[in-house]
Formats: sequence, C-alpha cells, structure tokens
Amino acid sequence: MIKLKNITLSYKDNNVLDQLSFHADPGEIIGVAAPNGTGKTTMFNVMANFLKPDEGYVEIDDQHTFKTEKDEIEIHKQMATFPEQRDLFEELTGVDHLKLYANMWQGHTKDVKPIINRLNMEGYVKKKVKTYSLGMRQRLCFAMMAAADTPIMLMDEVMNGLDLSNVSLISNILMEMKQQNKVIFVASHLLENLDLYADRVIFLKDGKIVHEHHLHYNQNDYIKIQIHSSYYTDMKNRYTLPDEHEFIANNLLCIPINQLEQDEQTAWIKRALQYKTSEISIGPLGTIEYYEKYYHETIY
Amino acid sequence: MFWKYFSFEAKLLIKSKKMWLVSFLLILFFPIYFMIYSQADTYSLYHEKYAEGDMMNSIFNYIQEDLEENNEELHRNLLEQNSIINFQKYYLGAGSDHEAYVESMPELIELRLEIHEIGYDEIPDHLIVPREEVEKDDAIISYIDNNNIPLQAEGVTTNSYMIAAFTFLSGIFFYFIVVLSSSDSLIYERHHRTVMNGFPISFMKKVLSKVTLHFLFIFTSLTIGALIGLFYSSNHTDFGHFMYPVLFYSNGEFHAIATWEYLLLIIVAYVVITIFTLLLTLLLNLILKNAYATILVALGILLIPTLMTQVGIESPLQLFIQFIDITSVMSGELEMTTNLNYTHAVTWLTIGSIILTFAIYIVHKLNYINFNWSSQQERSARSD
Repeated sequence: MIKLKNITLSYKDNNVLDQLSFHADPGEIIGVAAPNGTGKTTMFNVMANFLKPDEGYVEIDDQHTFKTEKDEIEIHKQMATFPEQRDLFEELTGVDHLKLYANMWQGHTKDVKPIINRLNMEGYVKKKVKTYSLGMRQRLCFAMMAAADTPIMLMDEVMNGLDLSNVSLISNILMEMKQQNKVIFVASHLLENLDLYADRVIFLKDGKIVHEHHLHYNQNDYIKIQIHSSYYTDMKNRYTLPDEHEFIANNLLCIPINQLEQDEQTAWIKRALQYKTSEISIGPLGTIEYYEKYYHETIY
Repeated sequence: MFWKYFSFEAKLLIKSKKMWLVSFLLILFFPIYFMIYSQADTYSLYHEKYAEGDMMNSIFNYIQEDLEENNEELHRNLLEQNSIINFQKYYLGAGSDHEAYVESMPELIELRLEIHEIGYDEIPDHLIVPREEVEKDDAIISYIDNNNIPLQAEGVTTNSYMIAAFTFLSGIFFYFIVVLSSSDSLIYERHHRTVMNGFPISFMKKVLSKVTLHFLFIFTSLTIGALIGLFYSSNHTDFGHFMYPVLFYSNGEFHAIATWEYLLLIIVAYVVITIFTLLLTLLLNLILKNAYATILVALGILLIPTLMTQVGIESPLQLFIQFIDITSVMSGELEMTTNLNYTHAVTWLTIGSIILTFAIYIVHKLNYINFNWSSQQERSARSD
C-alpha cells in the first residue's frame, strides 16, 4: 500500500534518512520508536511530501508517487497527517476542526458526533480551542484524524500530553482502526503502549531502520537477567556465553534459549542466581528492550 | 471538496478581527463621508448663477466704453448673456420656474460658444467660460431636456453624494483596503501548517476560494456601507433623481449619462479592480511570504509610478496602475492626458487579472518543480 524506496535526506552533512526502504500493507499499525532528533518526523514529512528527499521515492498503491501536484492530491486523498497542537486555530471550536477534517476527506460530517462521543469530548468540544488544556488539544488532534478516516494515517507523537485513561482509550480506537484495514504509522515514546496495538515497531538510527520488531511473529525467547556490568564481565570470563546473547543497556543480559537444551537452560539460570540479580525472566525481547539496545548510548 | 474548503475559509474569515476592521472601514466610510460632504462648500445652482452674474459684472467693469463701437458683436453677445443669466437667477429664485431655466440654457450655451468664435481679446481669459465647461453644460442640459427630468438645483442631494462618495473611495483608499484584507491570505496557512498542509485540494482551487471569499466580503461590506450611506443621506437631504445626468468623458467628449448608469459603471469597474488587486496581493504573498512586505510592495507598486511621474519619468506601468483610480478615468482627468477611456481601463485591468492568475499558476508550478531544491535550502538554513 505504501512503499518507501531508498529515501535519503540530509541537512548539510547530517544524513537524517539514509537509503531508508520499507513497505506497509493494509491492516497494519507500524510503531516508530526512536529518540528525538533521529528522523521520525522527517520520515513522516517525506511520506506526506512536506519534505522532498534528496534521493528515493514514496509510492502508494503501486501507482502514485509525488511527481506532480495531481499525484500529490491523489495521495493526500488517502493520507492524513497528525496535526500539531500549536497549529490548531485558537479562535475556532473543536467541532469546527473536526468538521473541517471530515469534510475535506469524507465530504460529510455525519461521523463527527460519534467520534466526539467515543473520545469523551462532549464537555469541551464546542468551546474555542484557546480554552483547551494540552490533553484536550491532543485528543482533538486524534479526533481530527479519526474524522478524516483515511486509509493511511501518519500519527507523530500521538500520545503526547495524555493521561493514562486517554492513552488507553486512544489505543483501543487505534486497534479498531486497524480492523478497518488502515495503515497507521504511530510515533510514540510510550513503548509499552506500542506493544499493545502495533504489528511491528521500526527503530530508526543514523537514518536507517536498524531493527524491525515484529510483535506477532514467532520470536526467540531469552533468559533475561538484570545484572550489573561487573557481574556480566565476570560471567563472561568464567563461562562461554552463546554468540547470540545480548547485554542491553549495561544491565540486562539476554541469553537466547531456542538453541539450548533444557539442562543448559537450567544451568544458565543457576549461574545467574550466583550473582546479585534483581530479576530473572524468560520471554521475547520487547520494544523497551530493543529501544534500550539501540539507543542506550544516545540516552545516557 | 472545493465548497467544503470554501466554507471553512469563510468561517475563518468571519472570525478574523482584521476582516471586521476592513468591513467597518468600508461600512463607516459612507455615513462619515456624508457628514464631510454635506458640510463642505457645495454650491447650489442658484449660487452658481449669482457667481456667473458677478462674473458678467466684472466683465462690464473691465471692458472699455468704446467696445460697443469697436466690437459690436462681442458687446451684443455679452449683453445677451447677462440678460439670460439675470432671468435664470429669477427662475431659480423668486420665479421658481425650473422649466424656464432649462429652456433658457441652450441660448446661453450658444452665446458662450459664439464668444469663442468671435474672439475676446478685450477680456481676460479667466472671465470667459471655457469651451470645455460650455460643452459640459450643453451635455447636461440636452440630457435633462430630452429626458424630461426635473432640474436639480440643490447642491447636496443623495444622488450627487453617492457619486462623490464612490469617487472619493476610488484609487489608493480602496486599493489599500483590498490589499490589507488579503495581505495574509496565503501566509496564514504557514501558521497552521500541520493542520492545512495535507488537504487534498489543488493550489489553484485554494486561490479561487480565497479570491472569491475576499471579493464577497469586500463587496458585501461595500454594499452595506453604500445602503447605510443612501439611507442616512436621504434622511438628511433631498434624495435627488437617479436619472439625473452626470458627465462621463469618453473618446474626447463629455457625455451625459444617468446617475444610476454612472454608478453601475463605477461598480463594474470596482469589481474588476477588486479582483485585480486581490490577485496582485496573492501573487506578492506567494513570492514574498510575508504579510507586511506584501502591503508595502503593493503600495509601492501604486505609489512609485506616481512619484516617477512627479520627477518626469514615464512608464507604461504607471499608466496601467492609474486605471485603479477609475473615477479619474471616468471624469476625464486621466483621459485628457492619455487618450485612454473607461473601456480601455476595464479591458486592461481584466487582461491584467488574467495575466496575474497565470503568473500565480506559474510561480506555484516553479515552486513545486523547485521544491526539491528549496527544501534542501530550507534544511541548510536550519542546520546553520
């Protein structure tokens, strides 16, 4: 449905996107995880043609690329991008904004009322935007996307400023949207939340997708041991750790168990228990663990 | 899709404080102008006749006693003129016979024209009614006579006020109001970029929507203002007659046309001028990407050619821009120096509007083609 092919974009010497390629199919929610300044928003801007890449192209439905304005309109008929709170019209009401998006993409406003009810916005949506709190504005931005109801949705920082109940509400609606065969890109810092609804999470680093974390495919299980780095060094000296093991963020040793016999698995657990460890668990690596793996140095 | 976008822009326009300011300016202009106009030194026809009578007295005081012997024809002409003017003073005053006044005018006009044939070396120029003024009187009186319209002897009437108001509004004042109203019509989208950027509507449709909306807003305000002015004026003075003649200069001659025709011509010209100015402002907005710069450059485009004329530099642009002051074209002020009339002005402004539309299209296309280059520039600037 949407394909990015060899997208390269740089600000002077800084390659923000570097030969980035991937595609997404209908009925998929793709999480985008990366710290600030790693190119998430730039990637969305390229996908919507608000920024032109130095190289590469975006293709929709195997037929439209952003070559002409006509093509751009055809693509934009199928694609809506998440508005930023600061760009809302302060003098207009939430209903005005919702009607605008509903009208521009659907040509009618009959779905606006159900969206308002679904997002519990009845209490404030008829007031001017300038009276809204951050959370209210964010819900309005999301409601605008729901009103546009396009097959492709690009949602940058969708959960910003939302409290837990609203994060949960929007996560549920995202899952409903997925059932409607939409392609939804969600950039969010709430990584655990991404695991709830995303089919895969892509990790951007140095302009490339360094990892695609497929949440619904069979994933390797690991023995995950929280351990101090000095203990890890000691363990490495005393035992031969499997080649595929990971030591994430200097505190999480992950030993893949799919190629280990049962007694070997038990042996690793026993060895781990010799060290002061706060937690041992078994399971696949989650979005947070991949995030720690790829961005630990960047964060700390 | 177009109408949905149009209705949203309309909502924004209605919420815009600047547009309300523009609207109030246009609406309040008419009653305020009436207050000024009604208190200005506007002479009635009766007063004009008294002035003419005084002028005749000055002539008789000036001429030599032997004029009757040396230039009998001129002397006879002056005496006859004086006699008619005295009668006319009576018709307009105690006699109160406007029909007789109208009937007496052709003879006076004939005598005034005749004096230019005879020659008037013995009399200073300023005491003789110029041929051009005589021709104006001729056009007006012929029209009144042919159409059986009652003579309008009062100085301030609603019909004359309406023409005066539109004449005053014409030119830089109206141009500035239109420029001010649309100075940020494209720029404001930059302040709401993430909301407005991805709409599935073409740029030219957006332009059409903006021009139509601003046009409707300005003309609605203008109409409301004119109606308020009409109502206010008719309550404070004689309504006059909208069939009453007004002078319209065309092809080197003064023609008398009905007040309503004159107003209609002004309104048609205002329509063209508004569209032309809106398109010019949009083009400047597209190029300059700044509302203040748009206003400044738009005013420069109007004023610089005028300043150039003051220092003796002539340019075709200067002529073209002068068409914006359409009442100066209609009154002959411009045509007498350039031989360009109302039809030329409206035609050229229409052609100008088409050229501006084409220019907006081309600039947008170039922007689109150069998008790659410009977004690289933007990125470079951001990284600096």
